[in-house]
Amino acid sequence: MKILVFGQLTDIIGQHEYVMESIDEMKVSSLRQQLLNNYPALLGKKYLIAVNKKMADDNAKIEATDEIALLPPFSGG
Amino acid sequence: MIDSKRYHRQIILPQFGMQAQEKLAHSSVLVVGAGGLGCPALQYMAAAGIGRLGIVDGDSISLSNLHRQILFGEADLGKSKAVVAAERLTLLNSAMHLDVYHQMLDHGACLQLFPQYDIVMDCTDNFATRYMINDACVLLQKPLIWGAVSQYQGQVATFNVAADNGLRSCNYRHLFAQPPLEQEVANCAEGGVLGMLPGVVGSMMALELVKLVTGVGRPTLNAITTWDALHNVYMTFDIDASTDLAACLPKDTDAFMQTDYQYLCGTRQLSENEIDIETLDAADEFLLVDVRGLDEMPAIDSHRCVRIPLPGLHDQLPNLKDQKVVFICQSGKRSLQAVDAMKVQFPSAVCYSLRGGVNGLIENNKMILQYE
Repeated sequence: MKILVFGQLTDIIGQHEYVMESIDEMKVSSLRQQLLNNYPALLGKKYLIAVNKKMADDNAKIEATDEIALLPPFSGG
Repeated sequence: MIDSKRYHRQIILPQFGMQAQEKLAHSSVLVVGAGGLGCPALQYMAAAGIGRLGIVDGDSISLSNLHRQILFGEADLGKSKAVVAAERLTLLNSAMHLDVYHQMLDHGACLQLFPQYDIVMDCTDNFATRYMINDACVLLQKPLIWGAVSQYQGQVATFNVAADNGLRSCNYRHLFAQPPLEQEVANCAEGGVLGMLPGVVGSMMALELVKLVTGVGRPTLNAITTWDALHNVYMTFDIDASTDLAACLPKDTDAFMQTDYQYLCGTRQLSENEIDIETLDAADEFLLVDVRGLDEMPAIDSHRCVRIPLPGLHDQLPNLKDQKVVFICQSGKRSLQAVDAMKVQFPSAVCYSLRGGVNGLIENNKMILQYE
């Protein structure tokens, strides 16, 4: 699945877009866990997960073909 | 009377016309923050013929502002942002009514100023003020145009707009129900920013305003638009506005006034009159004086704690002046008043206000609290 990375999360993940190998359907909460396993610096960081351009809660299901976006809060002005 | 020559090039736009121009002339907007976002937003709104603009900013202009805060020049260093912005905007459009508020926005100013305008625009630069503005807009039923930047990216949305059925579109708490603590966001307090970035995002906010006021096109409702300047990616994400936020929004103006946004965001420094929960927890020499009303829950169950409601505190101060006292209230505001009262009467008394109050004790699971 394609992962789009926004804001300063790109500093942690190291790229603004990448493809994550995923076997089959999973929940948003398991994606969050998997991202944390891959990038431990995400620990304690606040961000939203959008699935196909819709903000998704932890129980939402994700399929391998979905486009995922990771969106942290911005405050600068 | 609309100067149709002046606005000719927007009036002749398809769908726009004199009708849209008149709507702009009759609208009023309060812009909080005359910085990187506020400058371009104000400039384009003034140029477009908005009837009335309010500008709130307590800051003064510094040299490092000039690369992005394009209403200001070298001769303005040290002057008030709100005052200078208003001067420039008057030169641009003398028919417009301008209100200048050279002050930092606080709770009271939200409640006093927001009702005087049709729409509020958040051009500030920190989470504490942003959550305060969001909550005040929800409470006062004001539409809020919101924009923020981080390095090479921006986010824009229009919040809290009434639909035909009376329901309000989503607000910022539908995205992040609770304010992020400092450690939960990558450090950006001193983050760099390219001037064009807030330039574009502030212009997008002014455009949201024009769309919202005129009904031409569609503002970003129940969604947030993100723009990545480095990779030319522009995307809109839908937000579910059905989530019930009753538990995290202040329920009335009293609750709003009591909400300490700096504390919730973990960004408030302790003042010399304050003590934090960790320090209090490690020390046992303090007498705790709970200054809340007797009916306020939960009670603090400790032999070190007495309850003296704030209205009756004055008479008891002579009995407290020789002890080390920590005043406690629900959120840490009334307890600061208690410290002030003590210091006025007994300047050498040792007393502090517990930052965060009982709300903080609940969050930190400190002390035994009784709910009846």
